[in-house]
Amino acid sequence: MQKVLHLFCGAEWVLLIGLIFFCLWQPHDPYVVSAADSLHSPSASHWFGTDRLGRDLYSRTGLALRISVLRAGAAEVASFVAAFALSVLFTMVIRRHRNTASLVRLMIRLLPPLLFLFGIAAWARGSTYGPMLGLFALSFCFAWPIFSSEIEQALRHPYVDGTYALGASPIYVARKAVAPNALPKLLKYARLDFASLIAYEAFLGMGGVTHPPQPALGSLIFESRHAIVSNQLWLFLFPSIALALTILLLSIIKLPQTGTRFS
Amino acid sequence: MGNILNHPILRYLLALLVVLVAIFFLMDLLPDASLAITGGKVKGENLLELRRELGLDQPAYKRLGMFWEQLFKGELHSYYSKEPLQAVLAAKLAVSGRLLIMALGSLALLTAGWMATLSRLKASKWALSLLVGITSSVPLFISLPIILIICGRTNIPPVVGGGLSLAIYPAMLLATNLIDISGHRKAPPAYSILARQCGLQGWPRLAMELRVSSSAVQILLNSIAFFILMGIPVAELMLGLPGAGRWMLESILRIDLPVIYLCATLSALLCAGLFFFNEVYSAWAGTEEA
Repeated sequence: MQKVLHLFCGAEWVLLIGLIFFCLWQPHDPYVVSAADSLHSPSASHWFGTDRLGRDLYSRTGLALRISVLRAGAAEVASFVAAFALSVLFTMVIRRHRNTASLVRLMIRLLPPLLFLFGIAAWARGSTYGPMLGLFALSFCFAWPIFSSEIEQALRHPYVDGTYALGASPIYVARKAVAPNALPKLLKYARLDFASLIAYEAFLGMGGVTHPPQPALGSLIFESRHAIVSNQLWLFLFPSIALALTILLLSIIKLPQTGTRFS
Repeated sequence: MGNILNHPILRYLLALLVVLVAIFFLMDLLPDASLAITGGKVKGENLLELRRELGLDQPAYKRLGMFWEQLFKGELHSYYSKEPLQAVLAAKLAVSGRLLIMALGSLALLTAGWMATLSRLKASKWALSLLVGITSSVPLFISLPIILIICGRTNIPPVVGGGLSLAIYPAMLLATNLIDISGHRKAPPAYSILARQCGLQGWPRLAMELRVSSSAVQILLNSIAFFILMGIPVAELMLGLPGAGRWMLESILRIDLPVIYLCATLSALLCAGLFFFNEVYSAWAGTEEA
């Protein structure tokens, strides 16, 4: 069993490529309704079966996963950049005015949950920036304190004091000391956060923040929850497995490591 | 101004005030509530009449004053019902409170259960990784229906199943932090050896442990609080419980502005409370807050 697990862990990149292929390639049109094909169980022509309207579940799950991954990815990148830039700014420049900085920081930290509510509201009314805003706010809320802590830790090294003493600019220190030392840990955090964001995106789809007929992973799972007791288990099972597998893959996949350096 | 900023409570109050005023003005960026209510079917004079009735024709600063005045008088109501919001919120919070209590109870029980399981599985690392991996990868809305079916077949009330589902992942998180599952034999830290030699026991020992690992404890507590609080609307939606989380989500979807602003106010207060706790904890532990 241990060997099997090692094989699985080694094959994580293969699984990731498989998942990308699953997201990008849809054998059927995910929107085409066919009354004759309603609720077909998995077969050679429909690998994941069909839903009540006869739409191919494989294609719909793949498309829904692609939408979730793209939205979560865009929000994660935006949150990463914002949290990194703000952390560097607060740690290196504004920290000299401690009280004002802590007030501004507190205000910015109070905003994300409210922006999250706004994002959902805007999303529900068909806005394109809604999903990004909601997920960005959620991610930023947690990322900023962690980023600040890591960057502060990187700046505590004697090298930083020495570089400052030699007259280096804050940008030089950020580029030479903060980025190489804090980034590997922050990237690891971002990868795990990305997985969580995909789950939250799916949850919001479940809560009704979707625009049918566009498929959403959450609504595919939520609408098929009663299928567990009936004989249409595939309706619940395949979207759930696709989502859980994506989260698991993003949690276990290893990014190329870069060592700590002060040069 | 400098004096205000020096005092933590005043600083928090000032930040809350600025954020709550700013967010009210930001609400103007939301899609039109009157269009959401009518579904875009009403136009012209009728739409203007509805906007007048809801107070949407007033400038934002007047609406802000009206909101707080109505809230303090207990007259604030949703766009969709004439019942005062405070009464509705109290009823909804009672339902969510039951779910929260059930989740906290389950958290205690499941943490003990996970700790026992993890201790037994320490030797077989693959089984441990598999268990932790699966538990942390299956989102709540996938585990919930499965637990609900089990509850339905065994006549367990849905609220118990909901509480149990909410606690599975946080309990695992807590258990993996309470016991060492790395399998490596590590030398105890110096403070631990010193505490043992000095015969430090009970609360002083616990206080010392909490001080030493303050940042890890904060991250852990925040994560658990976040997971349970975010999970409550999911569980309420799945279980069909008329709780506060579900009500807030539904109100957001139909642009019910008074409820959205109330939710925003409550979440800001909750976050401020959490950050304040972190700040007090950091000060007690003698570490600077990140």
